[in-house]
Amino acid sequence: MVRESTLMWIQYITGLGILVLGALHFASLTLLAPGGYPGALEYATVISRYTDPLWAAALEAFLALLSYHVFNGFRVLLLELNQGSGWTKAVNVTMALAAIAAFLYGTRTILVFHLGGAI
Amino acid sequence: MAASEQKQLEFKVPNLEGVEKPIKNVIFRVSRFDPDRDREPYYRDYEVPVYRFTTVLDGLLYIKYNLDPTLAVRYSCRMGVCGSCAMIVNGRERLACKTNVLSLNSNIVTVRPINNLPLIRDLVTDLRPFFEKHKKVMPYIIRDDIEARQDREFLQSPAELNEYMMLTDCIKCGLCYSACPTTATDALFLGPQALAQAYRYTIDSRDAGAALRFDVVDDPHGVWRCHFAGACSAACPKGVDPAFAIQQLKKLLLYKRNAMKSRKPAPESEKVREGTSVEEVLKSMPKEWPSPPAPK
Amino acid sequence: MSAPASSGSKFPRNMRGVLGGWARVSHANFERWLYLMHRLTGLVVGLYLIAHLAETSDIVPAYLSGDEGIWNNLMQSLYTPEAHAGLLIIAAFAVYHGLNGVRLFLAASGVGVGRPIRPEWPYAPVSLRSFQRSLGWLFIAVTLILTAYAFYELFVVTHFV
Repeated sequence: MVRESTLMWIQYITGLGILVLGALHFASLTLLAPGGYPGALEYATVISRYTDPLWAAALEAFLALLSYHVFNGFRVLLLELNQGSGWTKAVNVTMALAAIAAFLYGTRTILVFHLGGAI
Repeated sequence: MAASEQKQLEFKVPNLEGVEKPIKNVIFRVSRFDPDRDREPYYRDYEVPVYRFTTVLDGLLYIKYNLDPTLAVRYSCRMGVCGSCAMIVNGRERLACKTNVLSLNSNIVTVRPINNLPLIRDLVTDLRPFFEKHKKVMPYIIRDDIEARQDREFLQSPAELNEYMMLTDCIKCGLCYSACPTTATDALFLGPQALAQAYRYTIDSRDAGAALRFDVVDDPHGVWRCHFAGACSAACPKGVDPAFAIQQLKKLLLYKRNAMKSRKPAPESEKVREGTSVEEVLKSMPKEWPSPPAPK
Repeated sequence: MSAPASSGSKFPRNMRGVLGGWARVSHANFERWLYLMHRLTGLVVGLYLIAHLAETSDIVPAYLSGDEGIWNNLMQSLYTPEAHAGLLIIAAFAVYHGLNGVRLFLAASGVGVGRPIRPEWPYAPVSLRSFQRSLGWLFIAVTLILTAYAFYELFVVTHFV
C-alpha cells in the first residue's frame, strides 16, 4: 500500500512540527498567558484560546500532527510484539481508525466555538 | 674479535605465572538443554582450572573432554574469524575463543547460547533464520553485465572502496542479532547483519541492484524497525558497526532513492593487467606453484 | 520461551521478549538506554494525549450551557500537588521524546554517525563515538533544564512548594 519509508518520513516531519507547536502550547499556558500558569486555566482564558482563529488553527494543526504521530507510534510498537497476519491487519486498521477518531473528537472541541453550538 | 669481548647475553626469566600451572579454579555455569528430556534450559556448574591464557572456549572444551562429554558447543577456528563460538558470557555477547577467562574478573563464568534464535541443544542455536534473512537481501553484486567479461576487474577507486570496506569484515557470528532489542520480539525483523550487508552491497559502486534491495528492506519489518539502540555495534567482535550501515541505509531510502536507482555501476577495466592480454597471463601461469625452500 | 516436551515444538524460540529485549539494561550501551527511554516516554505521553483530549473536551458542555462552574470545578479538582506531579512527568517525558526524536531523525539522515573507518583492535565502532552521542548527552541536559523550568511553573508559581 504505502511504503514504510513514506510513513516514517511523515513520522519524522510530524515529530518536528510537534516539537514546535508543543513548545507553543506550553508557552500559551505559561509565558503567553495573562496571569501566568494558574490564570491560563481560567474559563475566560481557555475560551479565548479556542475562539481566537490563530490559536484555534495552531491547536488544530497540533492535533492533526499528534493524531498521526501517536497512533503510528503505537502501531510500530504493536507490530513489533506480534507478527501474525491477523494481528498485523487488526493493528493497522485499529490504529488508523483511532487516529481519525482522536482527530475528529478533538476537532469537535475546537469547532464548537466557531459553529455557534451546532455540534 | 675474542669471545670474551662480546657482551654477556642477558637472559630475563619470563613471568611464568599461570603458564605452567593453573592460577585458580573457576566455576563455569553453563546453560544445558536436551530437547528430548528438558522442558527448558537450566544451568549446570563445572569447576575448571584456568591458566593465564585460558579462553572461555578452552574452558568449555576442558569440560567436554574431562567432565561432561555430552556438552554441545560450536567452535572451529578458535581465533576469532569463523564466528562459530558466539555465545553470551557473563551477560555480554562474546566470541568464546576471544574471551580470556581471567579478564572477566569473576570466579563464576556464566555461559549461555545467543538470543532470539531457536535453541537446539546446550549452547547451540539454529542459525537458519539468521542465514535466510541474509539471503533475502541478495548479498552479492547485481548488475546487467555480470556475466559479460569474467577476465577483467570493475574499476573502483580507493574512496569508493572505503565506503563499504569495514562492512566486509562481518563473520556472520550472530552476536549483533542476539543483542538487538527488536529481534527480541519481532521474528520477521531482518536483523542488523542482513541490513548492514544490504547497505554494503547497495553502496558498492560496482552494484546496480539498489531497486531490488530497497523493496526488501523498505518493509514494515525491515530497516524501519531499527531504532538505533546501537547494541549491535557494541556487540560486534570485528568492529563492523552495523548500526552505522543501517542509518546510512535509512538515509538512502529517505533522500537518495531515485539517485541510487538510476546510478550507473562501475565500468569494466579496459586492460586485463597493465599491458598484457588474457592469453599472455594464462600462458605465464605455472603448472606447479613454487614450494617453500627446504629446511637446512 | 519454554516448549512442551513433545516433538514438533521442542526447540524453544529463545526470544528474549519485552523485558529481556527492549528493557535489557545489563551491559547496555548509552544509545540502548536512550532507545528504552524513547519507547517509554512515547507510550506514556501518547496515552496521556487520549486522556487529555477527553479532559479538555469538558469545556464544551460548560460553554454550551453557559455554566462556567463545570470547567472551573474540574480545574479546581486538578489543582493538587499530585496532579501537578503527574503533569511534571508528562512534561519531562514529552521534552525528552521530542529532543531524542530529533537525534534519531538526524541519525536516520546520516548526520552525526561518523564516516566509515578501517577497524583496528579493540574495534570501537565509529557510530557510537560520533556527534550523535554528544547530542544525546546535550539533549538529556536540556531535558533536565526544561523539567526544572516546568517544576518552577507547576510547583513554585502555584505555591505548592
